[in-house]
Amino acid sequence: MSTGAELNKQRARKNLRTALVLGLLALASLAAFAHKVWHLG
Amino acid sequence: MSTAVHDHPHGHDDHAHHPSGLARYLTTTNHKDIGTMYLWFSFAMFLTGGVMALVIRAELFQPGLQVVNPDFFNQMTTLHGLIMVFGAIMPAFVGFANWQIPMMIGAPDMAFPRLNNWSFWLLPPAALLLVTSLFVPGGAAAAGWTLYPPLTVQMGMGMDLAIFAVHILGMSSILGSINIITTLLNMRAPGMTLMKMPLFCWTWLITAYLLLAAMPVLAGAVTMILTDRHFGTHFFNPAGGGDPVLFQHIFWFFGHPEVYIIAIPAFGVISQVIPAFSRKPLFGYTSMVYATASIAILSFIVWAHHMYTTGMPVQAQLFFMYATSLIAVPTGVKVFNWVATMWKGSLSFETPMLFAIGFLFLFTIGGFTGLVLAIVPIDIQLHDTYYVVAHFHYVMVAGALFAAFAGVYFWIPKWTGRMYDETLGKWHFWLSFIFFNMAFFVQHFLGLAGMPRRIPDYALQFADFNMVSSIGAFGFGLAQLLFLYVVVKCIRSGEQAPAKAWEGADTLEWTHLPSPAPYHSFETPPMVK
Repeated sequence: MSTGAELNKQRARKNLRTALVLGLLALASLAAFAHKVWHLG
Repeated sequence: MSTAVHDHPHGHDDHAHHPSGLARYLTTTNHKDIGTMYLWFSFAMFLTGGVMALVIRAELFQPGLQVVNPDFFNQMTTLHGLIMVFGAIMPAFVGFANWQIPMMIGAPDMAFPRLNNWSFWLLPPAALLLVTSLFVPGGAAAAGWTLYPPLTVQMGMGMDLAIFAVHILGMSSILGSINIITTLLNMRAPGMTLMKMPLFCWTWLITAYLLLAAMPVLAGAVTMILTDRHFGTHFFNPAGGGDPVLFQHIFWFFGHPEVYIIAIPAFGVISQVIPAFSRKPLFGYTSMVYATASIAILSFIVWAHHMYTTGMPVQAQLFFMYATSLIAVPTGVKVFNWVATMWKGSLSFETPMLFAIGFLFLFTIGGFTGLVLAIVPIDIQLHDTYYVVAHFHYVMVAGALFAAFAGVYFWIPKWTGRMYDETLGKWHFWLSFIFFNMAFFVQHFLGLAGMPRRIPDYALQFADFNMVSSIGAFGFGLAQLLFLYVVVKCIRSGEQAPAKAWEGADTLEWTHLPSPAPYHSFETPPMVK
């Protein structure tokens, strides 16, 4: 059975993965915006 | 899955091991401390933006120019908008999120406590930039909170400070959103499925996605203004092949979701308060979740209803008119569900419930005037008149701010361990309700009669309603000092609050935690059935 510390570590890794995906989502929003503006220009 | 994710066997740690004084607040990673800081910061900004509103209303008390010069008047309208939207209302709901989300889902804290601290401490420098921009050569930005070019390309350095402030505020919002989504997705107590989350948590999950999608667009738009101003680009300058209308499209692609970024967490607060004081579960929980998500998605396809007068093709006008009208459907579902929750409930009318019912009436008026403005031929008449000002203050003040007051009165027993003074709370509500309507209802008539917004002088026929509106605004402002008194009195000498301060409240913070909530809560997550 996992100890509390190990579970905390696993949860931290999971949190980090989620944050990376969300950060990429924000970047994708910016990239889509830049792409649109570039083509409008 | 293990039910314990911490080595300590005991449940709640009542002993707060943390530095004291300023160092506590500078270095804290505790969601409750950070939530408190967000709420006080937002109240300070509310008073700052409120004083600016009163400068505007003092000038408009009578026709002619009496109090300030027109340029300063424009700076006031601009800073009032920016400060209230980004400094007061948004941080207020982030404050609620910080305090409530971990306690409502049975988590010990937010997923990224240090990032949480950073998200908050980005705000004061941004606020400082906005306020101090009043004192730089040329004064503060004076083009309205929407920052339309060409004015924003031509202004002095106050505009650069505003752009920098918007960048910082956007960064804070994006980091905060990542934290909130991660917390809600990964930190829920065992047994708490997504569809068992309190609706306040759902509204924040959806809002955080809106922020992630919309904020980078605003950052991009203001960066384009910055490069137009200083680096020789011509995005918005027709002389160089650019187009100022492009900015309006980009801004409102952010700006309309922003309206819902403010409104949706307010819906969440109301969805907790109404069931608690109706002593019934929320009617139509699932439909509330889907309605909220529908509003969020639709908010991305209605932006050009802010720009009917820019000369877009009639097909585009029709699309945006119908799409905007469509938002009334999920919004109607929500209003119906709140009313249905009260139906045959065992109602009581403590201050949080009064503010929630006030919200329900006044936000619905704001929604209906929004539908009026969605209709192209009407909007072309009413565009840039006081009708629009009245409409969005019904949404922002009677909607978001009343919901925030409902939330403070509802949760302050849990936060402080003390009850507020119910009589004074009710005075605060009734004074706010009466003076708010006095300030803003008459603005519908002014707008219908053709009074333009953002102008410091007006024709004589508008004098009476403007006088009424200004008296209402000053009364509303004074009523908020009473709110400050109620909160301070509650913190210093309120009666001891029980763990479950409200009979009908049934979320985890009321059923599993004492009042005040301990500094560290849910180190061992509860089991949710």
